[in-house]
Amino acid sequence: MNNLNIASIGSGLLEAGVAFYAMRLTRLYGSKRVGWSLFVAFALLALLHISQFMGPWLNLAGGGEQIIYAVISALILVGMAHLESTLKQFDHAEGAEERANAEMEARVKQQTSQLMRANEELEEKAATLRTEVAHRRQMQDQMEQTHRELLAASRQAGMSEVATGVLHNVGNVLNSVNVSAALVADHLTALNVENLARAASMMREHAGDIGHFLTNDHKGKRLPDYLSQLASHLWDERTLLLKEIGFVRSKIEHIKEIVAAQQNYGKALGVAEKVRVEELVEDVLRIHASELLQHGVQIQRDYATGLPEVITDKHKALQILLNLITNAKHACVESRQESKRVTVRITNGEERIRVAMTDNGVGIPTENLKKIFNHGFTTRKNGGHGFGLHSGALTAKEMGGSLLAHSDGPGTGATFTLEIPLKVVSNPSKS
Amino acid sequence: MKPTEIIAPRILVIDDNIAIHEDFRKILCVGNSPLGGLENELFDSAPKVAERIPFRVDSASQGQEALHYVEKAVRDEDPYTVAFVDVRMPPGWDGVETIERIWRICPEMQCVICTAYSDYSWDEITSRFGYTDNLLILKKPFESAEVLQLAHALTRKWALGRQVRFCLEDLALTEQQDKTEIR
Repeated sequence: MNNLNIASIGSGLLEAGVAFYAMRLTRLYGSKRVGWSLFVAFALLALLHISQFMGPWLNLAGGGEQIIYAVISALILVGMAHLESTLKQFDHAEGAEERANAEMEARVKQQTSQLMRANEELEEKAATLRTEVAHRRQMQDQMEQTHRELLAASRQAGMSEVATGVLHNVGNVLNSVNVSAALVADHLTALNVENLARAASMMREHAGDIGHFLTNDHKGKRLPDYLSQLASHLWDERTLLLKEIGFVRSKIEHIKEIVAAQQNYGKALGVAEKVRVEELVEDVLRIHASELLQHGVQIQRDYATGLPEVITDKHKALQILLNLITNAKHACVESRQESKRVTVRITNGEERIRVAMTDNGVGIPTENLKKIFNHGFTTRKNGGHGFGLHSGALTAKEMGGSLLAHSDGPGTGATFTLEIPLKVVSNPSKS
Repeated sequence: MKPTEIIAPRILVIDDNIAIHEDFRKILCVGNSPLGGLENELFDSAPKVAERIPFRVDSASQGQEALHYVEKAVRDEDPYTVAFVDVRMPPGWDGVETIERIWRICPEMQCVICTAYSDYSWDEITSRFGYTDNLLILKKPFESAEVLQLAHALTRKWALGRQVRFCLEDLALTEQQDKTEIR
């Protein structure tokens, strides 16, 4: 019976162990997850108890059923332990997944917030850019306005320069006119007319004995000598006075030319008239003669023979040619070379006359050739306003002609060609 | 040469316009009538015309050239009395700069600035030269009489200025001699 008792105690202990273990599992993993396993375990235990009572019928050896009971209990324990470890692993995997999920979620959250921040920044930048663009546009408007004002100012400055130039030139010429006029007046006043009358009255007084008076009287003897000297003096005076009056007339003509040359700046209405181009060119050269001479610029003329008259606006043509000769002079002076030369070539062809002014001055770089007729474009360091060629090209167009520039580059001089049609091309704005 | 005896005062015209040189010559270099002597003999009541002073006129078209003339005149001890100077003389020095340079070597020279319009205001000129009495402004176009008056008056002023200077130098010399004699 001893054996039996030990087996009973062992199976009792195992049974208690199973119960305890079942409680533990239930507590750890919840009744839902372990419920079926425990049910199976207790069902087995119940089966054992039944077999215990059924033992005698099963003819088992004394105490043998106790041993089977203990073995089955141990098997149940082992199964439960296995169940626990499985559950543990399962839980562990579940936890990892959860952690991974949480991590993923966190990362997504972080990235979302980063994206939002980036988005905000982008929006901020877009706003800044928008204000910047608006600012730039405003600045551009301002610059355009300033540019327009500058152009107007330079035009006015140009006009005042023209006015100053006219004043200077006319002032100088007027001075000579004034001096000559005064000289003429002085000489006329000093003319010995009074003394001639005296000599005549002296002779009349001695009309009765004129022969005696002229040969014996100490005054009469000198009279013929005086009269011949007076005659030659009066002759000299006449020559001098004629010369001076001729000088005055040429100076007045010069003033007229200066004024005529500048009239176009004052928007004088154009009138077409018969013009000999070579005469016009000569006028232009005469107006600038002293300046060209002063700067040592030589003029070479190459005029075709038998040039026809053109019907055109003389003042407009004059304005363009004056501007061209001024430019040519500046180009020559700026080049500082020894032999400064401007060649004026007049040719005839295709219903138009061409006046080409070629200088051997500084020349024009290719990139400037396109801009040279632009309003406000100038290369002159001082005094240039950049509307001479601009208005020249416009005026040439108005006349039905054209103004062309050519240069092979810096240092090679330049040629400006004015083409004037033989007849005025009808201008709808003037008819 | 004694300071008061200026037989033919030297005048310098500085202007880039050659026509102006001629203008000054026409005004200043007027000879006397060749018939004067004979007429005075023949006609008792002939009106007497004052003898013209024959000025000697030199002309330069640039400031540099003018300065060269002035230097030479000072070296030759035959200085210019008056200069008529244009304001605008491209491409070289303008009138004011030319006068500044002339006065550095010949401070007694009387200068007349000729201008067709006002390049320099009075204030600008005084700011350059101070209140000088050696400078006058003549507006173009000018009258012959103005030029003659200026030439005569300024030549006289120049001569008197020189005379005063010589007298003072004489006095200083005499004083010096007296002092040495007393000792």
